[in-house]
Amino acid sequence: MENKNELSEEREQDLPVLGALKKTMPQLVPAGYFNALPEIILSKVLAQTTIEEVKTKKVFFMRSWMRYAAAAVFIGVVCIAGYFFSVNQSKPSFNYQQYSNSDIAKILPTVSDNDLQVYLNISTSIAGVENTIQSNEALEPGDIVLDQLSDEDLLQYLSEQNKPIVKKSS
Amino acid sequence: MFVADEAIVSGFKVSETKELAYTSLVKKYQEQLYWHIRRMVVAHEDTNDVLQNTLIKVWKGLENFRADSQLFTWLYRIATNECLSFLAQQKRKSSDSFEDIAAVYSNKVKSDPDFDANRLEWKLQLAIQHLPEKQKIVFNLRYYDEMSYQEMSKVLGTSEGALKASYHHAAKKIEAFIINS
Repeated sequence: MENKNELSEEREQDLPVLGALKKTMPQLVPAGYFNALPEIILSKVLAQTTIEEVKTKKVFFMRSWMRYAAAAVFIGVVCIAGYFFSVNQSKPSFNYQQYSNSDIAKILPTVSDNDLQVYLNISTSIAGVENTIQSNEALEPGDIVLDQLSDEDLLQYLSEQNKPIVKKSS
Repeated sequence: MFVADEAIVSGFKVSETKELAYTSLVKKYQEQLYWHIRRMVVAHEDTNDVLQNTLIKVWKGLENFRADSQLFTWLYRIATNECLSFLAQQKRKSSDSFEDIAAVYSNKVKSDPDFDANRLEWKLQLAIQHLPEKQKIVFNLRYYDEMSYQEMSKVLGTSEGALKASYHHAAKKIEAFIINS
């Protein structure tokens, strides 16, 4: 605080109209207000502090919960990615480009008949008979070729075999 | 007999004596802060609200208070900021012009059951309500709290020269108001 004389000099200079007016406020304060205030304020402050502590604990709990959840999600993603990666690694890779460029005429003579037969058996069982090119049995020298027979011969043969003849209507 | 500021500040930083130190601070400064606030917001109920907010902020901030400024300067700064926030809030609610706001606060002064228009101390209160906010604070701190311009500049963050000029203008306006009333 400045010297009291300085303050009163300033006041006399700037506010001569106030004269020797006392510096007390004319308003009143409710009775007992200042006696009660420290206790009221302290209880208010402590209540607020408790609420803030609870809020802080809640936020901390939420944060730690979210941290664990994020860790679990991360581990899950890593596991799933690892699983798919290992499955892909164990599959034999088939290079179609390489086989499409191969010269079949050169390779085929090197394959044994047995291997070819195994291949045909497998492909027949997978694709079905109707979709498979059957290997014709080799004709015996004495076998009759149908083109060389006349219709009369064929009818005679069938009647001998007692097979019913069904004629297509034209 | 009040506890020394140093003892209050150091006592507050120890959990066992925290509440005791805080209560000592409230007891020591409550009246000064109350009147500083009441000169600004006029009504007791508003003063009580602003004072309680001020003291709650003091509780929250006292642990980090550093002794490079005086405790009462720091308390006045918080109280002044709370007053200005309150007044700004009131202004937003009313959206009145400066003259209207001065009339509102003058009416609050007049509504006091002890108001006497012929007494000089009441005329002074009415005159203060017609000052702009900043001049009002400067005048109150200088006239009633007898605060030095050096301390006032720490509270308000304004240069001493500007504060002296502000007080001088405020005093002239008050004198004119009292003479003309």
